[in-house]
Amino acid sequence: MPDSGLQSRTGTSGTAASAAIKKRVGKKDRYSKDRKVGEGTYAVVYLGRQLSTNRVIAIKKIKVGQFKDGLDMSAIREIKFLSELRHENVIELIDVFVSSGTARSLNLVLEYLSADLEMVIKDRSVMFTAADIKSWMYMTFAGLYYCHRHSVLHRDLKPNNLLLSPTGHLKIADFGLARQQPGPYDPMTPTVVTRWYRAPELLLGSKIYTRKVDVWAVGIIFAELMLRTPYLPGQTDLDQLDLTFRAFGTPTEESWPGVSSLPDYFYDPEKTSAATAASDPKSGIYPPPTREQMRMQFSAASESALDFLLKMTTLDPAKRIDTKECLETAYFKEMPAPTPPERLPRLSAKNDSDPHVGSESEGVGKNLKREKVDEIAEREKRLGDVAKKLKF
Amino acid sequence: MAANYWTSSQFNHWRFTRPQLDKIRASTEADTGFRQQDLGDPRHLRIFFHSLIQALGRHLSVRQQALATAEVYLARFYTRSAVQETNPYLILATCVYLACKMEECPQHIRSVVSEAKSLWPDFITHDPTKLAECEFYLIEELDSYLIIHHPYRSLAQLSKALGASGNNAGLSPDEMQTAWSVVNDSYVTDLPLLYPPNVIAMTAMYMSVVLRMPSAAATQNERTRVRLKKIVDWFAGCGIDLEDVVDCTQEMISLYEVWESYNEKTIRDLMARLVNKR
Repeated sequence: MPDSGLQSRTGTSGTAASAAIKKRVGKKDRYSKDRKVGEGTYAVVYLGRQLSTNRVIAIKKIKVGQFKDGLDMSAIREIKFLSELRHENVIELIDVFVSSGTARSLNLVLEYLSADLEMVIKDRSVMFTAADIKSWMYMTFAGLYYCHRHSVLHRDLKPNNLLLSPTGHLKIADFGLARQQPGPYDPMTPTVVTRWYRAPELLLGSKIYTRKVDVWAVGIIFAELMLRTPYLPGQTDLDQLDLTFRAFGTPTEESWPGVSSLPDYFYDPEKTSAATAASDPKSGIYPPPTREQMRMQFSAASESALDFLLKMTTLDPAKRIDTKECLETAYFKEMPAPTPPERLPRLSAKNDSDPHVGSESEGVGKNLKREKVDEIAEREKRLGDVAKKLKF
Repeated sequence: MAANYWTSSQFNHWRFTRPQLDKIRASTEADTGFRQQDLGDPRHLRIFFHSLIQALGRHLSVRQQALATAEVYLARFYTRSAVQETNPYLILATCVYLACKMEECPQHIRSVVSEAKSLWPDFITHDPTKLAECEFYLIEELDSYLIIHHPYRSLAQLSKALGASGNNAGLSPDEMQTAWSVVNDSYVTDLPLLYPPNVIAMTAMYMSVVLRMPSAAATQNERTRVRLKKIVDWFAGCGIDLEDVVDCTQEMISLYEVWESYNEKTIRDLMARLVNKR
């Protein structure tokens, strides 16, 4: 009875393994696994290097023990999309190999990225300017436009999925929820995207949606970059809906044709008019914000930055701008020009070189030694968050 | 991602010329010490695998596109491994399992294993970890390139374009059905490893229209002849290399000839000897 798909014939060393297996062993030997940097449900992440180039890499090792049920869908999606996508602003999947031996595992070799946008936003010691925000936004849209052009919806954009390389380049990571845009009437699950960044059509339970859900998420990230605090931090899905409409107005049939027929739309269309909203502040129906209100909230934003935010966060997905239009928007053309990636602010300057991380010296790991214990704990937590992203 | 076939891994990494494909197979034979020709006409084997995949797909109610993906995985896999060093039943069940996940219609591993076991009790154990483990190897052997571009969408687009060219040139529902079947059958051949999906789609249209024409032409029906001319002109003008279409057509015709002499029992017995010998 066969015990595995690939027969490994026992015998002398010459015939013990098939050529295929020899090839695999060779692949594995191309990388070193230096130390563990994180562990999650599906995988362990190691820092290592590609021996031929000395390049620092991350190895995401998927535990076979976890896979009595076969490879998790998010692992499959990550492999599926990252194998095809090659862009400066999308995390690079360098290789995939199976380590043989007693504990078989599938290993994804990814480029090593030392930080993420969430860490930068939260690090109070890091100052950044409008030009820096523009640079991160531009790199995000460059990567996202590339994905969308290849019909890939990311469906989980948020600051801690936007990783930062030691040279300041932003890379979109975590394709575990990504999928190809299906046909126009093929339903998908609306329970995607981390709540705070979830577009209103998803909150209202729409099963038919487009890449515009990603644009919404980037819009909310843009707001978060300007405010340096999460813009719509809903505690529950319902709370999220309330926060969203409070910020952008409760959608009506006029502002968003068809909204009242979405599965989870529970407002009375008769009562969602602007008049109701104005006359009864307790109705739970919010009028769209005035320009002045937006301006008060985002006092540092230029007029075109504010325009851009409003275009990305237009409630009706049909009217929301797409990634291509985002890249062409006036915001990116006006002064100040985006900061070149290598001049973007980094995490605290204490991050100097760690011998384990080598030439790409901005590695988070390097700080761990010298900082106070509580700082280490905090940073490790953040590092863990980065590591989580590298897991499934 | 159909529009991006030309930038895909399928185009850049998994498309061969016929001499390249022969060379890869020869080197697999040299590496493994197993000769393909010991298993008879390779196309008989492919027909057999095709029927196994379709049978498993029917049991699991898997849609055609996912089965087509599974067939391409299998074809790619066996360019690099000899059939003799594997349990083909397990490999192809794994191909179906992985393809379902890839095409966003996932099946639970236990359903795949239990259906496969009910179909081929002598070759599949009820332990799903075998299949889970095999999935790892399959992904690696495929160089982790999993997205497959199929001719189905090109077929729909091309037939729509032909329909829009006027003069009643569009495919009738019957012809469309034939073209669709030709595409399904193309997975038995090496065509998915050799040609872009639009060439295969075009071949399917060509075969459904032109090769069915003689009976109609014999009636000296003027309208039919005008339509035929219109279609041939359109084919010539639509930017697809007709040499390739002719090549593919020959491949398909020769497949149908080989199919005539196909005997399922012979291959089944051969497989039983092969797998049990291990």
